[in-house]
Amino acid sequence: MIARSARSQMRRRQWASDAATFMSNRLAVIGLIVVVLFAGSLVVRQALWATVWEGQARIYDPATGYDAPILSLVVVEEVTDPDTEILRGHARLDGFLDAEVGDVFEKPIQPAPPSSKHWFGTDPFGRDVFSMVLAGATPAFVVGITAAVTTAVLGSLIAAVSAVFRGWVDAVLSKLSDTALLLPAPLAMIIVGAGAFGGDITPFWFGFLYGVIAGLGTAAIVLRSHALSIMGRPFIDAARVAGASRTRLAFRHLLPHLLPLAGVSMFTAVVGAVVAHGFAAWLSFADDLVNWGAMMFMGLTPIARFSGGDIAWNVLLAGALAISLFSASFYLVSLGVRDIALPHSQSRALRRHRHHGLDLRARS
Amino acid sequence: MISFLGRRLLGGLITLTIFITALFFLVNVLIPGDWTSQFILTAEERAARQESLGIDRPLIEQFWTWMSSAAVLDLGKSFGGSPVFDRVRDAMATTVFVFVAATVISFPLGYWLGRASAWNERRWFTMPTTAIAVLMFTAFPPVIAFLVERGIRNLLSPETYRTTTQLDPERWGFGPPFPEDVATIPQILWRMVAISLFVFAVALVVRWAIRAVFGRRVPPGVIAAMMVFGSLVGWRLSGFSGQAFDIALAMSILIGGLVVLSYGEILLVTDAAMIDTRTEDFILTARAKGLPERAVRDRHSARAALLPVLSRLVVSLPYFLTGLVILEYMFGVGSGMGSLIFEAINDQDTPLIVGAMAVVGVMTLGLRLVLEVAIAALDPRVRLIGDRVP
Repeated sequence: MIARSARSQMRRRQWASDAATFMSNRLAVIGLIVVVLFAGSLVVRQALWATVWEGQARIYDPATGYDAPILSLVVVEEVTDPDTEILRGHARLDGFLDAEVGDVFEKPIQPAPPSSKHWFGTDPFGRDVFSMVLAGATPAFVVGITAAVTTAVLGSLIAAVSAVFRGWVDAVLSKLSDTALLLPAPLAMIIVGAGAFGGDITPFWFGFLYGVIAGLGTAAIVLRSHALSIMGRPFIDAARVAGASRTRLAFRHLLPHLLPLAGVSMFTAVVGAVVAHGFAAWLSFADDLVNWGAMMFMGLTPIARFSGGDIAWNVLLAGALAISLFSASFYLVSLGVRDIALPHSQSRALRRHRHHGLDLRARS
Repeated sequence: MISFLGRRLLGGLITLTIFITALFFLVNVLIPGDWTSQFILTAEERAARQESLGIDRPLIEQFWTWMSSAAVLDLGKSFGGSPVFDRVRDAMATTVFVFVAATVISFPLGYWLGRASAWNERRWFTMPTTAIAVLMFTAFPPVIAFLVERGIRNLLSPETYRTTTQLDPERWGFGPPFPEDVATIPQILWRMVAISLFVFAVALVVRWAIRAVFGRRVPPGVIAAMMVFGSLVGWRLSGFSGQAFDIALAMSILIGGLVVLSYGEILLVTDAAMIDTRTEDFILTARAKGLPERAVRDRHSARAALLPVLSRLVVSLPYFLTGLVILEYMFGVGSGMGSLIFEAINDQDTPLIVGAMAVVGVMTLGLRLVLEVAIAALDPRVRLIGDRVP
């Protein structure tokens, strides 16, 4: 009983010190805040649907909604004020087929600029961009989390087995890792997506397959070299002398030490997976209807240029910023986790900041 | 060093074999239907076509045929009829040119910024630099490329700026017009790459020679200027100068995009690695000797940080290559590997997919070998243990 409470106290202290380490990295804290905000957006979305948007699916549905502010233009022969007048030929091109001079042409504005009704404006199809951004968070989280878990589990398992068993097991696994590193993940996804999933790959399977490639490749390589350095430490010899089997050595003694670094791989895998998914969605190889990659494509397509003259900037930027901020925040969190996983470099970074004054004196 | 090289080459060959085998079966099993399924044919016609393409035979047999011809660099014919090797060679020209040019810019840029950021105590410099680098590193490649394209279009007048598809052999910018039947754009690109690489090699030798003979270090800026100037002179002398400049200009979207995409990671790794060395004993010694702060930073800390940067690049290469493939598919400038691969996937042209991906794999492996040799030359431990530096 006493031993158990001592252990739990120790564990709590460890947690506290890890949290302090994480919090001392300002960028990581910013990243964590943004991740929490994105997670919060899942709740916000439900809340909006329950209150403000209730019963307004025809307007706010991210996939099928439609709303367009109407601009009344007078059809004229020669335009003097482009805000209130339109050329007859242009009105006819825009769908008012029997436009004559003097008629009033009620032109729906698609994409519409931001307004109080549509915070981020609407897209070329008249859908609410804010609603689309919120809806895009779900597939991003599914892809990210699946990829992260798969990468971490596969990477640390391979690393532990390689480091404990060495010999031909290690040789085979290393070659597999090298091979996985040669395969550009997004392209592989598209081949798989176009093939096995008939062009539509669900976020879950996308994340899983990305995780397999990243876990076999990058994560396994980084974790393996860390595992090899741990295998040289005295406590492993002690466990060996005490008669631990190799399986026990791998799972009971080595794996716990790999977990922090596996955490780093987890967060970096989210970055890669979300960007890759965005790309697949951009090429319409994604199963879900609304996601950030498809939004960016929508922003750039000829449809947007046709109706708006130029790019639908609000759609493009909303999608691009969402995907960039999402993956950047996970990357920043990975920096903080790295400080915990590799205390060596972290203590130095800390010392650098704490002994700032001393350092300057030494310099002058 | 020789035995190290030998081991690495052998390992690379094994990896390549596994990769190609996996790729072949992945592509052939996963892509639904086959080439003939996209035409409206009667059963007999389809069978006849399948037979003529050789895809009616068992997969193992096809694999064996493909592998034995690939061993002598014959990648077979695409289902469209053109030799895969020729198409890949032409497409590769754009990719290699852009990759080399972008790396030559982004590596020094990231390294230089990372060095400055690691040694800078002022938050107003370090925080924004790091934040922007993270944003660029995680940015979505097509959007980056799009913004770069907008920037370049606005910067240059439409008369100066033309994409490769808009290049008119009769009206090429500088130099005499060059008839298209003599040299296609990929051929010119390959020559440009060859000339530039030769100039780089010469510049490095010159740098080494000056150091050996006069015992003086040449500032990196001078070497860089020599490389750029030498390349321009080389292109000019080779007889297709006008085209070369125009093509380089047209590729600037891709080069700019790839630089923006890749410099961030180099910056971040350099920064982290240099902060790690700050409290190292050899830095203390260097300071105690009274070396100026600049020398401590550049010659002691930054050099030690070069190793982790290079080993990180080994892992990041596929990421950069993928980014490039995506960018290049987006813009179709010069139609490189990206357009080729996506076109092949759309057409279900399996020999072309496998051939193109295999060549990308070979390229990655080759670059990795170069990086590993560089690391081994810098760090004797690697040569002795023969293992990767983490």
